[in-house]
Amino acid sequence: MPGSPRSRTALAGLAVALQRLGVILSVLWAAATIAFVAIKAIPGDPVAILTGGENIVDAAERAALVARYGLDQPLAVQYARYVAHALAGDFGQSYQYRLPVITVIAEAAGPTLQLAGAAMVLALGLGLASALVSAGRRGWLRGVLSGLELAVLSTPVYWFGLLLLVLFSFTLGWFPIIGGEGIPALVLPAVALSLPLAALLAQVLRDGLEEALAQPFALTIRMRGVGEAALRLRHALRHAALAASTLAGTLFAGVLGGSILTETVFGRSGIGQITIQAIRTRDMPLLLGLMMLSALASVLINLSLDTLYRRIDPRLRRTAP
Amino acid sequence: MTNLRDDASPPAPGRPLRRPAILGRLGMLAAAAVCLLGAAARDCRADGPVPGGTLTVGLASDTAIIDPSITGSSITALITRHVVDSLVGQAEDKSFTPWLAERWEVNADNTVYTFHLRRGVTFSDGTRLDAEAVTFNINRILDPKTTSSYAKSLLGPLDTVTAPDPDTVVFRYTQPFVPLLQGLSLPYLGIQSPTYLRDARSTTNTVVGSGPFILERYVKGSGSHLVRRKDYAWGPGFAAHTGPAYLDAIAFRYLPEAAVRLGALTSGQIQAIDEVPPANFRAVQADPRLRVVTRENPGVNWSLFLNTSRGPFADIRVRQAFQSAIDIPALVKVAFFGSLKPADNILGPATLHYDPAVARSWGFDPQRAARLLDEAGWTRTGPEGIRTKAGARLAIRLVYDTAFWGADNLTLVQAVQYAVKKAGFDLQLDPVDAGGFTARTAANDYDSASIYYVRPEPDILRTVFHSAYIPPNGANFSRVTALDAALTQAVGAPDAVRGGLYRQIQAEIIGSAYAVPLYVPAFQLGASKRLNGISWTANAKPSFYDAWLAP
Repeated sequence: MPGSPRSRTALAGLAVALQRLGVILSVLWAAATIAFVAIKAIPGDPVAILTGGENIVDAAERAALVARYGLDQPLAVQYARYVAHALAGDFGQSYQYRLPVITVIAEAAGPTLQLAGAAMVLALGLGLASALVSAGRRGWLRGVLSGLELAVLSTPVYWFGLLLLVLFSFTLGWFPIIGGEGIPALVLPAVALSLPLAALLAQVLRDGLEEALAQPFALTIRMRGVGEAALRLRHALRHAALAASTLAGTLFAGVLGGSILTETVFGRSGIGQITIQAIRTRDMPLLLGLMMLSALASVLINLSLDTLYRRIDPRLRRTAP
Repeated sequence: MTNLRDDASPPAPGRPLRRPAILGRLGMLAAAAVCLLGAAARDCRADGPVPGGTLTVGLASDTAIIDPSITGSSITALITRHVVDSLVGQAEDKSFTPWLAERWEVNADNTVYTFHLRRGVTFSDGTRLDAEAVTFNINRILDPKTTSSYAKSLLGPLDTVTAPDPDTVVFRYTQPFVPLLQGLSLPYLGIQSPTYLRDARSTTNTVVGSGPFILERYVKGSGSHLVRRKDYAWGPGFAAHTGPAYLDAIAFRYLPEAAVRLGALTSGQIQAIDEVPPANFRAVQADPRLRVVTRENPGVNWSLFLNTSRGPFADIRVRQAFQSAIDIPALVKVAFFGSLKPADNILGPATLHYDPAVARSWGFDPQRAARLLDEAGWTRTGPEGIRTKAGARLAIRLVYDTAFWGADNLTLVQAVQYAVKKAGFDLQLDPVDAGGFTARTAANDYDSASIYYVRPEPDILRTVFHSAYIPPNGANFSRVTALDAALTQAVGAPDAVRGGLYRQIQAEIIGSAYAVPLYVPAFQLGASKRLNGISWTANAKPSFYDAWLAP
C-alpha cells in the first residue's frame, strides 16, 4: 500500500496475524475435542491395550497403570487436563511406545516429510510437463497422455508400489529395498506416491490452460507475435495455476496422512506407520497427537495457499485488506 | 559401515555373491588361521564357517519397544536374543545349559536358586557383569514403576534376589516355583548393563547387553541394525561355537507386505524372511537357492476357547459336540496348504510334558456330535439345518480382533463354520477391533475366542486356564475355574509329580472340551541356502549367533 504510514501497515499486519492465529487455535481445539470424544466413545479397556496382547497383568499392576495414565479420573478432568497439556505442546506419553507423543511424531515426521516432499515435487513437475505439452493440441500426444493419466488415476497406489518393486528392485535390481535411508531408497516410493497426484494435477492444469488459451487475451497476445511456449508459460499458466494450487494444497495435506500404504509396501518408517499402529493398538495419546498434527498441517497449508493466491492473481491483492 | 554400503549396491542379476570376493577369501584365510591356532576341529573343514558379511532378515511384524524387559513382543525377543545374554540357556531339547551363570543349584523344594556367575564378562559399554548387575536388573523388573508385565510374570512369586558375593546370585521364593530356569533363559529376563539402565531416560529405543551383537540403531517402522561385538568371548552352552559371532552385522528389516518380503528374498536382496505365506510355501521350497526351515511353537496351540460360563457352551455336551464336529486335519491342510500341522492337544508337541495319549483320545466324529446334541435337547429343525432348543437357535458368537487374525486364520475358521453347520451349529464370526475385543471379553459377551501362546514350559497353561486370568485379567477365555488347584500345585511340584499333573490337566481340557485346538503355530523361516548355521531357541525363534553366509 504505497503512501500509507508504516505503523498502520504494521498494525494491519498484526491484526491479520492475530486473526490467523485465532483460526489455527480454534481449529486445533475443535480437532482435539472431536478426537477426544470419538476415542472415549469407542469401546475397550485402555489398560488391556496398553499392556498388549502378549502381556500378563495382575490387579495391582492394572491399578498402577490406570493411575499412571490418569485413567481413573472423571472424563471431564481427563479432558481438561488433556486440553491444557496439549496447548502447552504436551500430548502425554504414547501407550505402546512409552515415549512422549511429541518425540514419537517428531521421529516419524522426518522420513514422511522427505517422501511427501519428493512425491509432491515430482508430481508438480510431471503434471506441469504433461499439461503444458498437450493442452489445446489435437494430436496423438494429448490422447496418449490423458489416457495414461486416467489409467494411473484409477490404479491403487498400493499396487503401483508393488509393480515398481517387482520391476525395478526385484527384477532389474536398480533400487534395492534394503537400501535403508538416503536418496536411492526414496526413488521408488516417491514415484509410486507421485504418479496419481501428477495425473490429477495434469488434468486440472490442462483444463485451466485450455480455458485460458481460448480466451480473447490469448488471441491478442498471439497477434503481438509472442511465441506459443512463452504464451503458455507466461500467460496461460497463471490462469490455470489458481485451481491447480488449491488442488495441490489439498493433495499435499492428503499425502502427509495418506503415505500409509506407500510406507507399508516399502517398509519405510514414518507417520503412516505410526498411525496404523496407533489405530490398531488404540494408542489414544498418540492418536490424539496425530489428529492434532493433521489438523495443524491442513490449517498451515490453507494459510499458505491464501498467500500463494495473492501472488498468482493480482486481483486478489487489490481487494484484500 | 562399509558393509551397509555393500548392501545398498545392487546385486548383479543372477549372481548371488554380494560381498566383494576378496572379503570372502580373507574370511577363508581367517578361518584357516583359526584352524592353525588349534581351534575346534569343525572350523578346520574346508566348508566350515566363513566370517563376515551382513545378514538381512525381513520381518512381517514390527515392535514398539526394543527393551525386552518391558514388552512381551516376540519380535523384540527375536532381535534382542542377539544383544542380551541370559543367566542360563535352554537347548532345543529343553535341557538347561550354562551361559552367564557357569553353574547353579536348586534346593529340594524349588524355593532357593543359587547362580554362580562366569567371570570376565562385560557389557558392550564396558561395565563388568557381577552379581549386583543381575540383582539390579531383576529388581528393576519387579519395581512397579518399570511397568514390566511379561518379564515380571516369568519371575513368578519371587520373594527376594540377593548378591551374597560378587559372583553369586540367590533367588528366593516363599512357595515352590519350578519354571524359573525356563523364564531366565528367555531374552525378556536377559541381563542388561546396569550403568546404561541407571543413566537412560527411556529404554524403549535402546538396549545394552553383553551379547554377541550390539544394537546400533532401532527405528520404529523400519527395523534394527546389529553389529558384531569383536571381544565377545563367551556364549550359551547350547551354541555350536564360543567367541565372536561369524556375521559382521545383522539387519532386521520390517517388510509387512508378504509379496515384498518374498520378492526381496527370491531376488537375493535379503537372505531370510519370517512368516513365509502358506500359499507360497511350496514355491519357496522348490526354489533351488532357497529353503524353508520350520520350527513348531511350543506352548498353547492356536485354539478356539469355548466359554463355559454362559450360553450353549455352558453345557459340556454341546462343547464336546462342537469339538467332534470338526475334521481338524482336513481343514488345517486346506487353509494352510499343508504348511502347518493340525493340533491334537492343547499343548504343542514341542512343549515339556506334552501328552501324546491325550492326542489319541479325541477326533472327528459326526455321529457323536449328533448324539450329544440330541441328548442336550438341541433337536434339529429349520430349513438351514440349524438346531434349536425351546425356540432358541444354536448360535455361537466367535469374537475376534481383526488385527490379531491373519487372512489364513480367517480362511480356517470359515471352514470350521461350514463344518459345524453340518452338525447344526450356527457359528457366527464377530470381527471387532482391539478395543472391542477387550470390551467384549471383559463383559463376558461372547461364546468363543481364540489365542495361542509360545512357551516350552507347561506352566503357560496357568495363564490360559487359571481363574485368576479370567478376562479382563488375562486370557482364560474359557472361563474355567476347575483347574486352579492342579495348575497351582504343578507350579512348584517336583518334576515327577508335575508330569502327572500336567497329563491330568491336558486330559481334562480336551475331555471337558474347554477348547478346540486347531493347529500348531510355527516359526517358518524362508532362507537363502547361503545362510548356514541357523540355530533355534527352545521357544522356536531362530538365533544367528552361529550363523554364517557362504560366499
